[in-house]
Amino acid sequence: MPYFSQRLGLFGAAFALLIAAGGPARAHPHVFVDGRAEIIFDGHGRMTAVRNVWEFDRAFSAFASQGLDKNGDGKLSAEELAPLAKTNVESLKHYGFFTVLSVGGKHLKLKFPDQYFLRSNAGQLTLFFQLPLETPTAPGPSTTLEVYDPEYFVAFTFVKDKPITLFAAPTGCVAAYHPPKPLNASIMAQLAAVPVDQHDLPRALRDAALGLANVFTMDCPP
Amino acid sequence: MNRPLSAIVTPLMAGAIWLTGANGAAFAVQSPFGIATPDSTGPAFTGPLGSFFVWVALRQSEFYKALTGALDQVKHSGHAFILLAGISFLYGVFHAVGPGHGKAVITSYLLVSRQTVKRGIVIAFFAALMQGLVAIGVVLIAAALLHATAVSMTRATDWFEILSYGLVAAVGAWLLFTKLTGRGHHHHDGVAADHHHHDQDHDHGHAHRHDHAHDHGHNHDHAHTHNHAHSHAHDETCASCGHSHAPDPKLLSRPLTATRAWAATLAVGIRPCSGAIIVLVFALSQQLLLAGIGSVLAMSLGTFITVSTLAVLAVSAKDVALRIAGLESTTTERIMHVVEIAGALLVLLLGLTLLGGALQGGLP
Repeated sequence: MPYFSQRLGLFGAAFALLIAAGGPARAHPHVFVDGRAEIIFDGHGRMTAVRNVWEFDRAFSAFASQGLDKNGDGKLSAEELAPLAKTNVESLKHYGFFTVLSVGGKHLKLKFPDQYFLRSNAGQLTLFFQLPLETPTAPGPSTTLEVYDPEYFVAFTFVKDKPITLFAAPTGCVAAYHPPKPLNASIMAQLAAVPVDQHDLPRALRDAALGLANVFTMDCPP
Repeated sequence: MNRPLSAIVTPLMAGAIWLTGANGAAFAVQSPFGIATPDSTGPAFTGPLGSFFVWVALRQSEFYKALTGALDQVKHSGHAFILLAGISFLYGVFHAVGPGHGKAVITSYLLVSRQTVKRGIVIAFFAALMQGLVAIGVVLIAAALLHATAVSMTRATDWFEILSYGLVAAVGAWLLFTKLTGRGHHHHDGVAADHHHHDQDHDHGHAHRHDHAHDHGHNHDHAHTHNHAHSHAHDETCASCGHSHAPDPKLLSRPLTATRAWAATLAVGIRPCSGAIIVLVFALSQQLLLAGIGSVLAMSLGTFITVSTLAVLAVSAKDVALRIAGLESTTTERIMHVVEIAGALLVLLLGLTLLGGALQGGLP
């Protein structure tokens, strides 16, 4: 019965596809961030910290602010927001703070934020946090900073005006912002196959990742 | 029959491995900000439908932005509510097209327990409605009444999530048990067939007796005689019993089947979507709670459309495949049985994997 095996095989494949289609995934953003980045230098021209300033969208801000106005004055003070800021950074730790700083393709170790706080402005929350470098490092021939969520639960865009600021950088250092290119399906598929904690992407994938991420490149005179 | 068998079992097993093993690393459920748990975990853009999901994710992202924007406008104009409802509906449609364990559970449940298209639509409806109502309930009680924080609301929904995953595993285990022991004779789940030439009342009695009297009620076990008065055409396979006739509504209420159908509905529906909760709290903060509730119900309707379409497709595809493969064949019946056991196993594994992932970081 050729029909039998063919059709049933087809059915089996369709069945599997249906189930695979329903497979678990985190596929769509519920948090939209307008970001700014800052790199802090010490007196020896070495990078010592990365600072992120993330403004959340109005809906997520409203959700995050819910129930925090303890004194009911209609405003959220730094004290009222402090516990949430702590929760935020402690959770972001598991995601590497969505921040990768590299020199010459080598990822620099970033420590837990030594400063972090939330501010509320006209119903929108902004998270500030500073990630110190484990070892202060001079910028090399190719220094990049990437900020993005490969799983796209958080959609990052950067502000047009001064998306990156260099603090006390050696004279002649220039940073440039490369916004994410429109999501490319095959790139996304390859990227998503890489576990979040594994950031040693193969070279081709790395290039692809740079197409997805918000990337800052920095050039400093030698 | 080895070839068709492997044609069915191989992709199923591959699916099981894909779901459970390969992506285990990415299964830890945690929100990047400690609030609003992502709807589900694991890589989204892999697999044969990867690029399709990317497209869906982008559309969802747009609809979500448009939705929160429309909610803002409702404050200024009543007409904006129509816009909000429309966008919410579309968001629901796309939300459900994207990957999620709910559809896997519903379609597997429908296929494995040989449900009718009609029943599939009913289950999809209640699952979608329940998902919206749970979100509304959580926000009304936690946010509006108790003034709870986002952290405690997230903790509450995480409990719902654990409950949901536990139920998925339970439904899977239940299906597996019935398939393996034969207690799940599909007469229970399906509908009495009119080709048995007895009247409606008789049908009920027949079905009912099967529920309790037959442990050995394997559909391919044709040697036995039923302990009721009339004789069946027992050389006929019962593969057609379960789905080729219009369901008798009364049968929907049979306790065992109904409980299992509710368990499957609950397993999928009890877990509120983070997006719905965020939209509701946002609406609440704008003093637009009613608009928010309307928006979430429109989302549920959209979700229902997608999930029921998928359910109808799945059940009809199976029916067509079986009809072409030859209903009279006992081989078909045996293969179906193996497929169903595999499907039940898949639901169980999916539930356990999701549960394991959700519990990885400890209880909420």
